[in-house]
Amino acid sequence: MKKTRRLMALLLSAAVMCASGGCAGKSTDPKADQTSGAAPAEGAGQSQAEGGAGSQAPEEVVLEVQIVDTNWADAWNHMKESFESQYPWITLESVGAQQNIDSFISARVAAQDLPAVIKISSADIYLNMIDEGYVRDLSGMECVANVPDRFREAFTYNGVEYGVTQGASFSALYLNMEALREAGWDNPPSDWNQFIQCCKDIKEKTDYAPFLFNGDHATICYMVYELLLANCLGSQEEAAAYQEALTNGTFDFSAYPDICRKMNELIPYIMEGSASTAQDDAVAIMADGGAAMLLGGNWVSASALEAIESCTGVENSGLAIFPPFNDPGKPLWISTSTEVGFGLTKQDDPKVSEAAELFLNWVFEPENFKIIQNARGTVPVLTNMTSEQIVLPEGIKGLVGEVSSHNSVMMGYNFYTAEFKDGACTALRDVYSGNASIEDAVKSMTQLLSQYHY
Amino acid sequence: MKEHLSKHKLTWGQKKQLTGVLFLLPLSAFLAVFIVYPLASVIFYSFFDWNGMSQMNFVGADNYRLLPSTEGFWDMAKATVIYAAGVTGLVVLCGFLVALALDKRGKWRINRTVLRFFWFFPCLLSGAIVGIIWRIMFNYNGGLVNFLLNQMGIKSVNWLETYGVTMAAVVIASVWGQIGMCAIIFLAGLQNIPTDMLEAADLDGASELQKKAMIVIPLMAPSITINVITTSIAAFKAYELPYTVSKGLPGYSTRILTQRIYFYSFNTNKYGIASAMSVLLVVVITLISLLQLFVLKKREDIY
Repeated sequence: MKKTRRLMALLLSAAVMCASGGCAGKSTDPKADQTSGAAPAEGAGQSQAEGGAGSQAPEEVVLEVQIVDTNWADAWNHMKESFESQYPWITLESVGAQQNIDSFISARVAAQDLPAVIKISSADIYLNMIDEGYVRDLSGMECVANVPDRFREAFTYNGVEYGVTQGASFSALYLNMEALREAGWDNPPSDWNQFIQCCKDIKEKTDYAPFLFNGDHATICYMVYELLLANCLGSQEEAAAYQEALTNGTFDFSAYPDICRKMNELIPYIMEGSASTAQDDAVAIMADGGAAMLLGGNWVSASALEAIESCTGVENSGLAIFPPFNDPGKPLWISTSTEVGFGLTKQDDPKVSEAAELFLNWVFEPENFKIIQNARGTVPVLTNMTSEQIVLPEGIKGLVGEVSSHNSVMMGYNFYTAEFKDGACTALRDVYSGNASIEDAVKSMTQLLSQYHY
Repeated sequence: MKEHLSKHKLTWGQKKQLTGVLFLLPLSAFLAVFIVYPLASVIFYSFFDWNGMSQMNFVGADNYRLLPSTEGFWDMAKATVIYAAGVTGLVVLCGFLVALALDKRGKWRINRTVLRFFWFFPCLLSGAIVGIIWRIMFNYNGGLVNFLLNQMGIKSVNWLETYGVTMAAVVIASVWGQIGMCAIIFLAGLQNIPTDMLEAADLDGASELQKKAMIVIPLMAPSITINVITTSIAAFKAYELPYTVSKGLPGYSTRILTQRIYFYSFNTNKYGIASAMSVLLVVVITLISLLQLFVLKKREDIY
């Protein structure tokens, strides 16, 4: 019995040793094959030179990247294959694609195991990461070379250029023109008075609710207020002062009583349930013919316009315009922003750092970035992208060209803290759902801002 | 040599003790790693100002002192108590009624097995799924609940944005999700009630209601104790179900403290305050559970 046991133990040990030897063999062989077999790419030679590797084949690297979003997940495999064919020693591994990005990063920070390439924004957690030295400075890298200065400034904190934006976003109003025609409007409203009159006519003459937005999303919830505020600002200087005051906590929301007046005019026309409506629900409501006008970001343009067309059955019945919240005869103000960007984290292994840098530079080459842009249909900011490389939804093509010709404020989430965002949106949702007055919300927001700011 | 070995030979009692220790060891290690250590860490972090990355600054009891002045704290504390009380009361009450209906000695025995599965099924779903299902059903625009109300000629209710009503919606969803487990425990208790006592009551001419009030409910005291304590603990520490139903709206009226703990931990990275809030919640749950245990045990002893 004892002999059998010993024999079994010996056999088991031998099997384990063989297996590990085999694995080791497997892990080294393909690397040799790949590096010798693949045509040396431009970047590969560059990388070797930079790394001082000389004629030696680069070591195999697995690069964890957290950049994929559900709205372009289908294009990820194409991007991965394309990159790996050029840099055969780097294997890309996408992580955290289905998760809340901030929670995912929090957990990875706690585990001291950050992906080398991450999505990054001005949210508290990333600013803390920059302060603590977890994030690399991208200034001087190729990936930022073709990004206009104002977008680079938006991704600079305490002297660290911490990300490259995926694009620009702006506020838009999506109109069901069939509903407007039913209400007697052949053309879209062009200022605040016309907009309110249009809402009134829709409410009185049709079965549609006049105005809808997905208030469940904090950016959109604040956007309604933000647009009213933006159109009360007299000049670009005043807008800059607002943004600065929002950042340092000194902005007094009650200093603009016109916002309250306009909000009180708007509230009767807001579709009930808007404060808790999610983006997908809002699009579904437009498809079902529940509302005539939807406020949203340009990121929802494709689905919103498609929903309107499917509701009316009429081609091009959906129209996107800038929200006409301006007083008659005064210039129109909109809100714009950078989108979430991509950044690099500091890694202990220089090979991983180098591979991450190669990847980020590669992503922001126009031919490669178009994989993401074409899948998402958003507005790229790279100056070296040609119009042939950019694919935009038909309905907003006209608007994209006009964004820079309008006055704009940066969307609030670039400036406020998570606590202010939470408190302000809670107060505003109460206003939209008729539970509180805008005057109370404004007081509450001013107080919150003085308490919670950067 | 033999003498030496016999000296070290374990007695039967020692072997029994050793076996017990060995059996306890895996679970004790598990508890130490996943319960005791995290709990001790949370208590430790609650005395520091820390964002998860920076140097930890000792702030004494400041995090505890500041808790009441944080935005919406009292509203959320109130919401937590209302939610826990509502869910516990309704789950226990409805669970008991469901168990009575499904009891083999009950009169309503239509497809008992199917009905038992029907009532237990929600317990197999995760809280997030239950929450999302009910959020869709409570949706003001196109939700099933309002559709049914409209069919009955009743005006749509804004379930997710009306003070008071939203809390009711959250409680309904939670009760639906938990009732099955509670009913199963009651069912086990009901089936342990000696039949001779009920037969004796029949002979004495007791009505069904009298039998339930004088025999069944008193003998169910241990099941009631278990259900009240486990349901209330689950309600106090619930997170995903109430969040997915209402997202804490309107105002802070359905935002319970666990949601705030998550907010401070993962949205603002204020681990010190989040830890202090967690410790407070643990203390409150422990005190309430002990109180319940004391009161309900006393009642069990009477019978």
